[in-house]
Amino acid sequence: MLNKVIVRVNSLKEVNTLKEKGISNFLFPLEKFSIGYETFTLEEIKDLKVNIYLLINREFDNITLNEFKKIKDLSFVKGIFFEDIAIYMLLKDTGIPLIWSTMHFVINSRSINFWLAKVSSARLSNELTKEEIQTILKNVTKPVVLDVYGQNIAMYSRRKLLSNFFLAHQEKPKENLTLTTDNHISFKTFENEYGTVFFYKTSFNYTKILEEIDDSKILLYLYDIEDNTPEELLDIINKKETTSFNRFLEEPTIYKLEAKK
Amino acid sequence: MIELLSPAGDAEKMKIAFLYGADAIYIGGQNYSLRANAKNFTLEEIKETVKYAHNLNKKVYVTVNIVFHDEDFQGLEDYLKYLDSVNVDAIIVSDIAVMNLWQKLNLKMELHVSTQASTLNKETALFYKELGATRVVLARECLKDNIKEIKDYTSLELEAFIHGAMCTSISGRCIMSNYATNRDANRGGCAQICRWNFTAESNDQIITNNFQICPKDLNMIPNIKEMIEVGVNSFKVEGRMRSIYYLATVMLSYKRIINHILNNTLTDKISNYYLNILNRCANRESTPQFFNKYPGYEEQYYTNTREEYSNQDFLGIVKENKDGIITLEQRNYFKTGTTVQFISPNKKTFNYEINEIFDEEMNIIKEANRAQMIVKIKANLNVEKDDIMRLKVFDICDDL
Repeated sequence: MLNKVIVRVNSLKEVNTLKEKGISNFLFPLEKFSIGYETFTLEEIKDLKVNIYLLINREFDNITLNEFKKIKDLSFVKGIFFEDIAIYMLLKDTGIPLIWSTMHFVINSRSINFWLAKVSSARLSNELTKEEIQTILKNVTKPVVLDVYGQNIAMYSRRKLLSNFFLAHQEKPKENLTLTTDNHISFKTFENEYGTVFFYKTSFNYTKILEEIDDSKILLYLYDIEDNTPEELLDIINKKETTSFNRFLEEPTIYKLEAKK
Repeated sequence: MIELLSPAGDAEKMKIAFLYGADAIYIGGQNYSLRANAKNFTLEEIKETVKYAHNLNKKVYVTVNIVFHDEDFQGLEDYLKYLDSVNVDAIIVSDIAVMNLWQKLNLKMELHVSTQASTLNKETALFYKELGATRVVLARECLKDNIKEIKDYTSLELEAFIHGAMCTSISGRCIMSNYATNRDANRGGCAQICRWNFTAESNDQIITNNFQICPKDLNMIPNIKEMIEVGVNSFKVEGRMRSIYYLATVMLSYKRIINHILNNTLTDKISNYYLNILNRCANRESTPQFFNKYPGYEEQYYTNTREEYSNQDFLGIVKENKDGIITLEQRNYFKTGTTVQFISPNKKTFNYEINEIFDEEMNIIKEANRAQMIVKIKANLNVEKDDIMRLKVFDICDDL
């Protein structure tokens, strides 16, 4: 399975350590074009002797689009996880494998198959029950990417929600902010010049369902290193149990509130 | 083409929206719409609504804008065919699977791409055009230069929000509701977690119990002219769950602003007048957002306590004007001596001081103090059915 594991990393040092342990696929959030994570420049990663996948998860306006068009060489890239359809439009004829990855939208077989007819793969959204994942895997026409471990993005805003609050209250900005609702739901926050992202604070860990899903329909198993050391992540990959939030796997969400009879 | 587009949560709101200036309305059916818990329209009501609208030479768009899970597709094909058969003018869609189905079924109603799809750039807009969409509802985060470029590149019809509640997040990119309440934000169950207070901690220290991320409402009165110039065709008001008073006030205000712009008679005095009117009828502060710049803290809504208030300016709606007797259905308290204003889609707003109020049997009463009670006033006023009586708060603008 290790050959299908892909890890989103925070540093090149992590890449080196994990590579020594047999991991060959790495997901690098690209500087200027991603949000929520430590980023990398193409210069930093292009000569790494690993399978390089890029994460481009920002919503593009035309300025960002024009910046992206300036990139000359992506030939060394094994695949691009894209949020915005503009990436598909710009790269569709280049031969670079594209992986449809729009947050919260990769969530039904029909949409996924629509995109699989156009691109190499799709990364399943996290908000699926186990049964829904199994149904999708049964129906998809190509192997897809499954997130196994990480913190899910719960909200992405173009506003600078943290800075704005501190400015409004004339306070010094604080770092590493966690926001918790009255009913004890916590979000880890991230803000930069491109906006704000909230992650659900507790990681999900779908290791326990891996034996119940059809491996032939999985292109890659995605693990996010988060704040773990490479050794800790390897333990997780090797099925070490963690505290995790797996409610989406176990319980469908509701949207129509109906009076109980 | 310039279109004023109103939400309509039910048949009464639909009629008021059209009467007060909407060129088109958008509605939700009982399923597949992002206001899953609104009243919404039955199949028969959709059919009747389309007939009503087309008799007025106006349009109806139906939202089919949830992000579908596999189980949600049941019944969709029949539903789309039905909408097409009753001559719905367009469906508003965010899920590519629905767009694909629309294309496969070769339906005559137009395909409009929902704001939920968050179109912010010209290439994405082009993608949807190539799929067959004739219109894109732009992401609310679209700056004006972006809008112009999208228009120039694609020639698509562009629809943009001008008024009403904003999402804190990029539309469609938020599932806080899923985490906090298990209510699916992208299938119509959003519990609006962005309007909650949060406890903020930094390095395990509590900073505040009152951290807020709620934005102000949108109000684009100052920018309508420029929006027309950069290529926006349809001006969309948010709020399928809003009241008829809100709809009438907002529609009338924007209709008159747009007419002034098109006739080159807009003045600052007129703009400010309508700004005051609109700020008054909302329950949250509102302001222009994104068009000229990315929003800062002035565009956020910070309160020490919940300060949203329900407006009680809407006093009544005219049911009949016959032989000098005006019959009104009360909507909020008023009494003898109250100075009111009558607003109408077809006439100038005017002031009036209530001198006598009668009940249904023409007995004199001092006040109208029960919800929806029928009262009468004797006056020779130029009002007609569905004109609205509100509390006079602002002087009427001379330039109108």
